[in-house]
Amino acid sequence: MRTRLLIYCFGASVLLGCESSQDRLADAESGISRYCVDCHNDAERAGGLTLESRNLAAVTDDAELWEKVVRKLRAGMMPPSGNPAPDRDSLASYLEARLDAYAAEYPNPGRSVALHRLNRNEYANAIRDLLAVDLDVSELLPPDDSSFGFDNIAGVLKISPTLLERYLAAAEQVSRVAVGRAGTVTSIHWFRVADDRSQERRLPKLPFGTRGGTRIEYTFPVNAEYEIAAELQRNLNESVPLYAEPQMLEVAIDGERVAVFTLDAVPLAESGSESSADPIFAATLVQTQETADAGLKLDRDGRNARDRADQAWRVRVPVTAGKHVVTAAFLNRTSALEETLRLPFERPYPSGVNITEMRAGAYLRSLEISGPYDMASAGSAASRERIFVCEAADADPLSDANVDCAERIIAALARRAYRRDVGEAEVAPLLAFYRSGAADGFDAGVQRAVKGLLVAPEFLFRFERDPEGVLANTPYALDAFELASRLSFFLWSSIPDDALLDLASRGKLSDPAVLAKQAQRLLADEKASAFVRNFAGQWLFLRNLEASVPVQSNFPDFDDTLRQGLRQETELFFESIVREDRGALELLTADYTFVNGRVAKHYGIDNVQGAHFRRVNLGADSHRRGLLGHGSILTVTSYPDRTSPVIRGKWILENLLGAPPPAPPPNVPALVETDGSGTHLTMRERLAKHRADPNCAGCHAVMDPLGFSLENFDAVGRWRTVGDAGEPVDATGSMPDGAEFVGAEGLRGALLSSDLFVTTLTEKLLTYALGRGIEPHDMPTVRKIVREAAEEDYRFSALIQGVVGSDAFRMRMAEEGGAE
Amino acid sequence: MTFVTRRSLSRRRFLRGASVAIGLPLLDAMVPAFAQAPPAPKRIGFVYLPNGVAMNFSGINYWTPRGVGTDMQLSPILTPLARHRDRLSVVSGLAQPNAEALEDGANGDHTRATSSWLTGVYPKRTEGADVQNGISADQIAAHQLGEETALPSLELGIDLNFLSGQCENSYSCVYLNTLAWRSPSAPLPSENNPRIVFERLFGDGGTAEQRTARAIEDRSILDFVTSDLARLSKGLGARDRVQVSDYLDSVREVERRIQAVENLGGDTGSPTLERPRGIPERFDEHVKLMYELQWLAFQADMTRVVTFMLGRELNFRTYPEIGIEEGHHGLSHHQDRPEQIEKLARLNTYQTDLFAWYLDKLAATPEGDGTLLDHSLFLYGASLSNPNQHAHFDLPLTVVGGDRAQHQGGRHVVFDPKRWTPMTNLLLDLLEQVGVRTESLGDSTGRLEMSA
Repeated sequence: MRTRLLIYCFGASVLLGCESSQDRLADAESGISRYCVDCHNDAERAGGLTLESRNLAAVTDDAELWEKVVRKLRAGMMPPSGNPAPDRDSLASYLEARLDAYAAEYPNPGRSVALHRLNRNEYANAIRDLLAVDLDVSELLPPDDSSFGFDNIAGVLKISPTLLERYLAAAEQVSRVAVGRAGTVTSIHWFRVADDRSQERRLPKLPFGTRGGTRIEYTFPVNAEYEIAAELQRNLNESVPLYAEPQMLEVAIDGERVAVFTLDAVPLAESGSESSADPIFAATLVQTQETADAGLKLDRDGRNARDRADQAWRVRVPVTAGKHVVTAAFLNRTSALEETLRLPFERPYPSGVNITEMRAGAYLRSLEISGPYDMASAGSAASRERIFVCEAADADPLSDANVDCAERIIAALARRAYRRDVGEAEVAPLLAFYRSGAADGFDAGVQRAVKGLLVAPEFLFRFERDPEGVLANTPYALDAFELASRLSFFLWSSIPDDALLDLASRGKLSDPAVLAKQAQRLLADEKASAFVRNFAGQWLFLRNLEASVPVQSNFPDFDDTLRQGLRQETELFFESIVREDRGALELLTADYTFVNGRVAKHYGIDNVQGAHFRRVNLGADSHRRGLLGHGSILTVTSYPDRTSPVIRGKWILENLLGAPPPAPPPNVPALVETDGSGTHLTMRERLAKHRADPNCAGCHAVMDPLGFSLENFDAVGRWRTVGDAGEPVDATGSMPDGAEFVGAEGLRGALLSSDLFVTTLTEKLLTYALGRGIEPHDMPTVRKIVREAAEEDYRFSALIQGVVGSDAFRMRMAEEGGAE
Repeated sequence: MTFVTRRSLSRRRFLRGASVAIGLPLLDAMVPAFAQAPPAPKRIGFVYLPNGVAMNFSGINYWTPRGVGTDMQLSPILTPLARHRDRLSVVSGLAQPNAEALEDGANGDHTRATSSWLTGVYPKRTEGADVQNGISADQIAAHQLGEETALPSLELGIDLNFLSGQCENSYSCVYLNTLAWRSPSAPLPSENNPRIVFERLFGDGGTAEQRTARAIEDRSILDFVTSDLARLSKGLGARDRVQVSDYLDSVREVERRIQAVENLGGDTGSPTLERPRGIPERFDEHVKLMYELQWLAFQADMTRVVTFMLGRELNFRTYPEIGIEEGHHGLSHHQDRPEQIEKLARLNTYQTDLFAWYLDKLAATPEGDGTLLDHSLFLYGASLSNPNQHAHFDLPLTVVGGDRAQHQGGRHVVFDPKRWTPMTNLLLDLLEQVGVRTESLGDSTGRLEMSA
């Protein structure tokens, strides 16, 4: 015992004076026996945990357990608020110091599984960077399962027969587009416009003088004709509403008009007898019983010609290979009719039986692009330039010169695709594909080789293997190429570029200074926006906005334009912190945000017009400061019809405080709606009853008060002072340790009073960077990153560099059994 | 076979409500030769309702029929199935004990409800690489029934999970996302895009010759994958080799499927249906399209085993078209409020309407000496009874269709809920009915005799 303790003292001597360590051990022991063991003893085992017979002197024998204790202490969750507590900070600090000292002595970088499949986003980025092919892969590949809050976790990214089939089909399509060979079938892409996107005004990045519509960036595989077809939105009866003015849809490619489709006006007299006398609605008289009936039965023959008008809305145009922007938007009416007068709400309301049409003009439902037809030539799309580092020298695909060229092409692609130097062993099987495909010409041979490459295990999976001769259960430094992949998938969600591969090839990347410099370079690159979208999108739940449908009766203005706007606000905000290398705490405190006209109106910010986003100063005393005031987060943590202090509280615990509560026990009693006398209770009162139940109290006493502090924001993030039940909002909340505060401002202050927020952010970053869950043995690494970043005011680059420079990132633990 | 190219059909026809119901005649050429010779293939389908159902409340039997045996009076939710009454048995009182919390904690009722429904196994609580469940009933069926078909089984869903934080803590999302487990460690992803399902079934177009050429090409690529994996697995440790061997299993399975396409001479059928464009916005259109594809797959004998989730547990979908604007999961926690339960019942009735629509199609499609429904057995139900309580007992389950000699319908079969008879006993019987004999499944205690 004595010798062990000495070892710990030695390891810990930097942090603790060894002199006092005996005293501190005694303090910690007495703290635990006084404040913890009452519940966490061998008999009671509260929460399945006993601290009774643990030897604190041998803390590292039970590192996992003590890390749990640290977490609960740090979050203020234990001892529960209201109970006598030790000085949580000093007890936690003592334990941390001991654990960290041990970790410094015996580093454990952890081990992720050997095969790490690229997820769907990474696949899309990889084919972009490998082949200059920009395709929407959501049609090609299924979404990925997630664990630990992210969808890039190696252990759960499995392969299945279905997925492999999809990879084969995707490889066929991608390779054809890349090389510029038309497929055996016409490909058709259908782009649906969200039903609840308002199309009354100009939408972001659509031409001036238009309203509504959609914008698509589309990669045309070859020089050929393509067909673009537009479809009108219907009403609830599947009929095209009637409008008193003609509706003109302009289709353009790269801003050049290629067609204007017109839906004729319907004179008022013809639109039925139910015309409203109200001039405001006169233009959109929609529902005669006849059209309503026809719609109800969806009887095709019964529909009038109007309902078929858009069947002719298709145009064939020659387009050159490569990426182009296709837009379809309605031309603004020339009429002086003030449209906003007729539009009580931002969200569009289609008509149905006995429901008046509330949309002022026609809406676009979908745009379809099909082709190629009448292929002219392969063209010179960017992908061909990327692939064909040499050209066919003569007409015989199997001539020496052509095979040499094919080999060069394949070797260059394989190096990027496999993310390491390649030799004969890698090139030969791909060259065999070239030969078998070359019967149909040089391009066909290359296409076949590219297809093979895209299904190769080394493209689809990142392999990390233990080096020969490494001792079992021993940390070792990753191979330089493996490290290059870790870095590029972390910051770009994609494959390394040539510069990174070259450094790896020359053995430079293992030099920490070089690695740090590369991390800086990658982060500054345009491609790092993938980090914002994928990391922030999942950490902050921004992706969930797509599925948020606030109920229209309560939130009649919430539409898809706002939904996209709120998401974009938070993405731009997060990106500005990263790109401008600001302190991570600004995520909570920033007195600025990014809005366009729609978002500004939602927030009640004056004098912001138009569809483009700009940075606005909120003022030091704004209640919208930082992420806690972002409509995106406030919406995804609400129910469709009301706020949920529980969901918000849980979100804060999990994503800002790093202390996820357990889920509810089985047989949860229902939330009581009324008191005994039938009086309706407010949400706060109902949840108070909930917390009175001891089964629920354990977690709800922690979650609910956090959520209550945001009650001034409604379920779509608007500021309010009156709650759902008509009561004045009471935004009093408290931290898990019982410290009270009021409102978002108070919550912000409480979050800033410790380094829990930064610690949680770091844990999330490390999870995302490593593609595995954080284990107790990773916590010393997390704390080290946080400690070092603190010296740089938590600048974002300091956190990233901390992650990249950590042992967990640069090293790996050899498998227990060892390699065969 | 007429190869109707998609351009000659109205492309708008497909996604418009009733237009989904294209009553196409069965083209002889669509049915592979062996399917015409008796006996007709036996098929099995599992239709899963997420977030439980409205059971019985304040004297209203929303789900459970009144009366036992042939005295069954169909409940409101099951009334849409009335026209198939003689083909259906409502089975009450069975349980899924392994969806309970058991020893390792309270969390995860929805997760276990999904993952145990067809396995009867308590899933390992993990978010890591060590996910562990049991082999599922559909996959046991697929192992035998799928030998002759291009796809051993189809795994379909309505929502795919791309959301954050919508899985229960410390369980990987994969447990919530699929019912089908090929092995205890190999979950099969489900698909919700009708277009992709269509292309998996019938290819993405082209002629039979082109498809055959593609099949040969794909096989050579898979040969390359196999040999490459052998090269790459050198130097991997024992645990990592397991991953490689899972990979190789997948390669072999795809090779088998490609072989099946080749055996058909590339003729995978298809042209009676226009290739769907994507995912319809409306729930009912989407569901009908997915049923339509199942109908086609059965009819053309592309597969004989299907799982179909009408949504995943915990989903927050709203159904404004039937006046339900709260999220589904929130609504399912109905707090015993009568109006909430009524709403949930309305939603469950809506789901059953759509299922009845599918059964109608099957019953209207002649095959051999009967109809497709005679040769297709379904389990329709949920893995939670009272969702407000996350109850894993007295599960709402209904068996429909199948061989009349084996499955006599028109009955309400009742077990004592207090005995917690595992529903895997019923699954064993369903497997038996389609000719798949299995001794046990998960926690089964013996085959339940339905044909009594």
